[in-house]
Amino acid sequence: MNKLLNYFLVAGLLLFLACNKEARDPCLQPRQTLLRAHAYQHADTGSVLLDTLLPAPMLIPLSGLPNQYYYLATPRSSQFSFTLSGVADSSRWVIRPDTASLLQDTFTIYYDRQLRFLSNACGYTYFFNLKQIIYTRHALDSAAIIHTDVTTDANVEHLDLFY
Amino acid sequence: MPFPSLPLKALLAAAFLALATTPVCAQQDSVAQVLEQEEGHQLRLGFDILRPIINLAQNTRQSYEATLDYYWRKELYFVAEGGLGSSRYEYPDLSYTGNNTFLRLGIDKSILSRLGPGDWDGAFFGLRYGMAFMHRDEAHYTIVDSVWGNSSGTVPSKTFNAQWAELTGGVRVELWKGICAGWNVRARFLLNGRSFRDLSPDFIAGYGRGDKSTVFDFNLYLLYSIRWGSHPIALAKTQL
Repeated sequence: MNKLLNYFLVAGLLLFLACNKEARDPCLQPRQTLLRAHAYQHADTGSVLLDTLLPAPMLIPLSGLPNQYYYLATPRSSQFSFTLSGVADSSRWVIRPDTASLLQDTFTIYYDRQLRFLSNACGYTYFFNLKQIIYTRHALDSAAIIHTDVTTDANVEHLDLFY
Repeated sequence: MPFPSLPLKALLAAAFLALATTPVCAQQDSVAQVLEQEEGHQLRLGFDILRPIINLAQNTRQSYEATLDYYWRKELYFVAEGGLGSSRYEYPDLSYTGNNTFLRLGIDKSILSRLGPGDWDGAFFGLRYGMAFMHRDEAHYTIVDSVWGNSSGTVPSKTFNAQWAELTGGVRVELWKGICAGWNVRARFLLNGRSFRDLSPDFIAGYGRGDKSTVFDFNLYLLYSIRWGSHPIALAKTQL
């Protein structure tokens, strides 16, 4: 009996030491909140919306860090995503449907920021509540916010762009 | 999958009732009747000797635990366990420190019948209700953003409590004249995990990982027993 109890003791001790790790868990969920946009065009007849495949879309963040990042979405794509600033209540982007063309629009998105705790492994992030979009109309016909809550949910589209 | 709270409570209540009302086996009746007169009293105080070793091995988590049990009757012990601890969570994107005290109250039921009034060795299982009183200092966070720039801030300090239910089992063996050793394995189920949503503590002394609703733990105790009441009655029985 004592021998059996000793085995249990050693097994329990090893199990405990194995489980009692101090290292940080890996972050297994998305940390970044992305605003997802979808480009459409109106059909010639009726109210049907058709995907617009932008030939070579390019997104340029304005008022960001000095070394500006250029987002080059996949060629001939109608869906793309980009980030909102966590240090201001608005973000301004330039969108060019085709890098071969100089035709481009600027849009500014206004929003509220909500600090959100994800986990000890992932830390904090911002969720956003979209308020308004203002845009130029060079290549763009119109833009509309269709979902105001921007979270880590990757299945939600927030912005429709009409060409 | 989160542990369902209501079925758990019902399960624990049922287990508690079963534990408290478990009759002594029929074959032990005669022994039990004798022991009922002779079992006496025992107060046992112990310290978890594994914690200081773990504290030495870890830089960020410290905890100390003590246990006190009192033999009531019919192989049933009242148990109070307590302790304190602290933790330091320090990473570039999130850092905070915290400390807490804790108390666990419950009962142990011996599953090995005693061989006589002087035999206090045994294996047992038991239930606990645990509570921890915690303070988390101001937390500092940084959200990394390569496009718009990093943003940093602080989350105010907070005082809160944790509550959990616990199933445990273990062994106690007398080494020499009231000095005992023993171990416990424990399964803990956090009852108020929702209150940690805004920033779950990385470590709660007495419970374990604050961001887990179910944790397992192990204690290794060195104990000292104070006994009274059993010896004179045992002598009287012998003389009879």
